Amino acid sequence: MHFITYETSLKAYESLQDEHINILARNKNLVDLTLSSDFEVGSNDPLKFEENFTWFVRCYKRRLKATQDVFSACENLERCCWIQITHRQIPDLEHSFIVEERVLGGKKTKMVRGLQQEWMGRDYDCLETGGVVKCKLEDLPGDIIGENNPLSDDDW
Amino acid sequence: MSRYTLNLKDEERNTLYQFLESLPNLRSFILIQAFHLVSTTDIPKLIESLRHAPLLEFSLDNGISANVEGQPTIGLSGLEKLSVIWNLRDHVDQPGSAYDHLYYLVRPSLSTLVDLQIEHYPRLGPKFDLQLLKPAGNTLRSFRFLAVGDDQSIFYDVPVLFPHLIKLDIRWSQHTPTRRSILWNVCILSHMKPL
Repeated sequence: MHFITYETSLKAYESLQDEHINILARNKNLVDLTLSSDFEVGSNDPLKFEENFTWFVRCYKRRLKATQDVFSACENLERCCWIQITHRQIPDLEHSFIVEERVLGGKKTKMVRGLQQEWMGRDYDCLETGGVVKCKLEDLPGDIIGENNPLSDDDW
Repeated sequence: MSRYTLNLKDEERNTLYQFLESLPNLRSFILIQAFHLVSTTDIPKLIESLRHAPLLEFSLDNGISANVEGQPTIGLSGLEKLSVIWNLRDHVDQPGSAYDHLYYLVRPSLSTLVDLQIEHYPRLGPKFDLQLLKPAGNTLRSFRFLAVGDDQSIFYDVPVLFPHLIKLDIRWSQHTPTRRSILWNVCILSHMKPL
């Protein structure tokens, strides 16, 4: 009998992820990438009710990680946007990221930064636990750029 | 030029086509319609009314779903930017005819296109053959495509067909049962630790 453990499933995930990154990396000149995505199926994490902001945060974090992986393979990429299909009576979400080059310790490093979304910028009551869901920009990862971001006038 | 409206009478349509024919320097034409300002059967007339103009940009949304009719219309040549929202089904007696009509519309400008957007909404049937777009490989820099089905081959085809792309946008049709990206979708591993 073959048991799937967390470690083996993680290895499978990383291997498949590498393959997908390699596919995208074949677009050598790519500067701007938009893809629809539903990582929540793979993570068995569907939206159970509409104002579940802990779920919004988890969705954002998944795409931040995926974007970091994509940027590491596509050297000319400057912008990445994930269209998230919610399967609910709320609009699909758009998670946008840009990459910035910074010099850290004399070395050039690429930093991925998120762009503010409508639900970001304030805290919410958590309807599941009664606690607080921290959604202020400074409490979320990805060094988020606020509303006056450089892509806010994009015509796509 | 763009306009939102519901429908036009035949004489109003003819006035529109005559007006378009009177514009010798038109460089851009964008038609966005929720219903049938220009019906599917009128697409040939629309194209003919624009053929004289030195258009660089052409955008066509055929409106609400319909079946293709008649012979395919040969599209405009010399375009640099082309957007087609193709909400058409096959003719009942001609399987694949919706894609045939789409290809005829796109083909004349393939060697000059810099920016191409195709969205199509077939409920059933085969996928559009991206290999037909290969002549755009030297010039195309931006490609937006609404994909149907779970076929992963598009990610292998695009860098080969369009090696100079700087902007890529691939989304999945709402008529695809899963509506999800095939990238990473194979990771349906319930053991994965939630982030």
